[in-house]
Amino acid sequence: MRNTLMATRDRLLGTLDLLVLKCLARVGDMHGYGIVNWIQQASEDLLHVEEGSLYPALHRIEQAGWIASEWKATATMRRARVYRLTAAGRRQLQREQESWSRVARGVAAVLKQGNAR
Amino acid sequence: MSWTRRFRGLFRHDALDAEAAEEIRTHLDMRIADLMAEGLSPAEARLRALRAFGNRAALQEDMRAADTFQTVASVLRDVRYGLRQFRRNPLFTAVAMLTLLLGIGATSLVFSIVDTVLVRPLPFPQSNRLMFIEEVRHHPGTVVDAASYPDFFDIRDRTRTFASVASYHGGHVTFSSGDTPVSVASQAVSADFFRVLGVKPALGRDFTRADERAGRHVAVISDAFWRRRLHADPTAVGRSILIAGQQTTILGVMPASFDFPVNSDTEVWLTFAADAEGNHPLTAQRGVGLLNVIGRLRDDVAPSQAQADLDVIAQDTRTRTASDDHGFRLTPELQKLTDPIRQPLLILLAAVGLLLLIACANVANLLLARASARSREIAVRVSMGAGRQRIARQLVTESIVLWLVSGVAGLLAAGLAERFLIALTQHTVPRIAALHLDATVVVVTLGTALVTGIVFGLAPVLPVLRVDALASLKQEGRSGTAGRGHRRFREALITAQMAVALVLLVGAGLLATSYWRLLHADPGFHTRGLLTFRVEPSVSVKPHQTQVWHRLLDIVATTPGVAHSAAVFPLPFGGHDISSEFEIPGRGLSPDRLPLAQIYVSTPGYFATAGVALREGRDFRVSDDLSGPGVAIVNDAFVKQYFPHDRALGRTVVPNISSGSPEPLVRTIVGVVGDTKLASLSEEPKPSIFVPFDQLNGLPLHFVVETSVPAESLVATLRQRVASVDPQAPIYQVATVEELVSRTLAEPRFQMILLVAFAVCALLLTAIGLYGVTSYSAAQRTREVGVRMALGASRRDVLRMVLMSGARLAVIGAAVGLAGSLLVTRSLHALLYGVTPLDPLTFAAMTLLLAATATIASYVPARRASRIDPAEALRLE
Repeated sequence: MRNTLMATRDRLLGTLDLLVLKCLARVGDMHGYGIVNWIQQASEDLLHVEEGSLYPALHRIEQAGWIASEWKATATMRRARVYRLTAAGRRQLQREQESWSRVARGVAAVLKQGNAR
Repeated sequence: MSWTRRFRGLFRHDALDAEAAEEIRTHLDMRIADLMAEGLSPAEARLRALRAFGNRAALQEDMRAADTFQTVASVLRDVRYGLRQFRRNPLFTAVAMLTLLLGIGATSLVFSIVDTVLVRPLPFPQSNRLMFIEEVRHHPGTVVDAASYPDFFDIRDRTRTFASVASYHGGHVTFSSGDTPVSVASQAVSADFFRVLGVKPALGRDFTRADERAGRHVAVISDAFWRRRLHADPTAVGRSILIAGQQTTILGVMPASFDFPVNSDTEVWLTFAADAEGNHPLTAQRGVGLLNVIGRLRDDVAPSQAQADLDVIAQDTRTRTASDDHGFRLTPELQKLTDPIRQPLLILLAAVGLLLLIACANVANLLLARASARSREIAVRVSMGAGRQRIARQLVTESIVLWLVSGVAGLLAAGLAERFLIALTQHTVPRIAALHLDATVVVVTLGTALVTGIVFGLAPVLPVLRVDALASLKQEGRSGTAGRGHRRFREALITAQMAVALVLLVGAGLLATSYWRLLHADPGFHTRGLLTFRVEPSVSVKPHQTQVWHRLLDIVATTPGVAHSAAVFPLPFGGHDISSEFEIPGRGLSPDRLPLAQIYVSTPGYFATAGVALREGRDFRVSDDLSGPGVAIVNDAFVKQYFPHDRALGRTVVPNISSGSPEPLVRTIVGVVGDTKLASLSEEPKPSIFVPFDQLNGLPLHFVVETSVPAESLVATLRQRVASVDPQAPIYQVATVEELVSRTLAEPRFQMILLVAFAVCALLLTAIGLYGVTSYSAAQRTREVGVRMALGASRRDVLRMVLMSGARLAVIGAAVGLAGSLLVTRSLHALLYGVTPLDPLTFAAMTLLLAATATIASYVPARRASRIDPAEALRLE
């Protein structure tokens, strides 16, 4: 099953932020294209980030001060906008990771209950 | 990104856009490279990369949204875009702005009048606590009257609900300084007058109760009097001046802003000490209604409690005076002051509101026409990925900008019109002199502009929300059509406009007819060639004063240039009014249910001089004095009401007026005269009794002079000759009868002019709107017309077809408008003279006027349509 992360404000928006922060924490500085690819690989091809959601999200997270960006040359000598996790971003990742785990545990606990007949 | 950058983003979005675009481009390039590495052809790789990206324009906008304060930024951008659109269509913009300016400006003007005159509090502290108190009687009919001194004293002594009450009544007093006496407007007030109003003199002090006693001669003067007549003498307080022949001490000078009674131009306030003089003083006569009474409610008291308090006082008076018909009525001072003008102003406000609706509908129609012209542009933008909401917001923003800019212009125009309006109405509308654009007016005007802008500015958006991008684009080269719904909407708008315009036209037509009837109403006397003036003899002691009057009458009559002269009081249209109870001996009228008649005093020759018709009997003679039998002359209305079947001549009446003896004089009717109007041309003639000057005590006189030379040259001569009889008697209130009558026309004229102006504007706007709609639908049907003509339709057929489409709208509009008029014109009832609110002639004439205008407005486009070359029309496709 493939899930497309949509920028539906009430559902998975926060999840996308979490994934972006995690990606930058894990692999270091990265441009948008790289982030899309990493999330796809790391999720074992289960999660596909829509570009239409990613870039507005990146710009919004940058506004929040959790990541910073600059134009850099890539390994293939292209000019690209590269994002980097800030100290505030690292703390935010910590918080979001914890709350996500709690939610996931909670949801799992609920789903474990048997259905009425 | 820093805050400063974010702010910069508000204005410099181009740079940010470029960055976002580059970021997207980089992403695409990387994807394409990877896909090609997987073995896809460059074209395929590109296609897939692009597809993955979806709507790029929308994405870029979303990124920008993240980068900036999106709402503010996009509104600013929309505003700029809108302004650019307006610059590109100067004609459209000029027409739309002028239309809105007219509607909003007129609304702003009328609103500021309503606000200034009806709403704004009086310029006194806690002015909402000020209440006006009147006397009310219910027999023979309900009469609201001025209070008498004993009534006033009862209220003042017994009230528990008023902090203070005061009485005042106006007149003129002679101020003598040097050789030329002048007459100045004065008020005789009770001691608490200024305290009730809550205003202290700028210099000196105001009155105390001790100043009310007979024999005290003290005055408070106005700022104008102080500056103009005393040359702003800093030692004026305590100074003694000659007023009404008495050395009078100035106690205080009021501030320049003090104006009460409002618009009275009072220069001198005296106490009522003069009314307390003599053996039978006014202050002791309960039968003489003379006083205005004003009170200031205590802070913890509601008006209803004060009314109950007054009822108790009136009950007590009834018991003591054995009269069963005597009460008081309480009215908030502001309401009392503005009562006569309230309804006309509210009608004007309603009318201007209708005009505003028509103007807005017109512009909405223009915007719709333009929106359909722009539908291709909009379709392109939709297909490029712009959200419909986004475009709708853009269009509404444009509308609001248009409305607000016009609103500001309308405010400025209203500001300019105010001066003209003040000049037009300052004598008829109280408080109008204070008219100016204040914060309330600005806020309400711009608020009106904003709300109407949003509501009517939505018009061009409706079709946009339905635009089918593909369909619109497919109609290559054809002017965009927004379909039938769109046209229906425009037609509904214009039909409503015509209905509203007809309502305004009928209202204006009724007022204009009424005004025309007023102009030609017969006042019952001549208005041409008559000069009137007053003289105040410096002696007030009888019978000496009477002798002075006779010498004055003689010297005026023998002045060269005077053809006839006489004197009367009250003078028709002179602003006074006396009525009295009377008895007809032998009729057995109950003493406390006596009828009222208008009382006039006149000198021999008055009827001939003023041109009042003498129906039968004779005029007064010089010999009709107190040594002879009592006589009276009555008018047609009196005869009609009290002697409908028998001759009035030779019968007797006993008006309850003082003739110097304790008992009222029994008077034989010696003549019958035609009816004359007293205060306004629209009034019904009232039963009136004339008595000879020499048989009545204590009334002043207005001279009425028929001149054979220009009035101006006569006045100087008259002054000299009057001075030769009484050097200290000023001539004042000099005016021609024509002027006096014309002054009463100022208010109906003001209402009529404004309403007619609104109606004419409404008609013009509607004509323009109808022209626009007909031209538009004719243009849309160009192809149809081409086909019809190719199939053999004549130009006349086409002309008729287009004309009929306009006529259909006009007929519906007129029908709705007539129905609306039937419903609303009755509210004009009180303003109309000589014409009923449902006057069929006016209704028919105005409907015809609308129909004619509609025909002309649709004839032009119809003619144009009929000249279409069918070959060319078909080739258009």
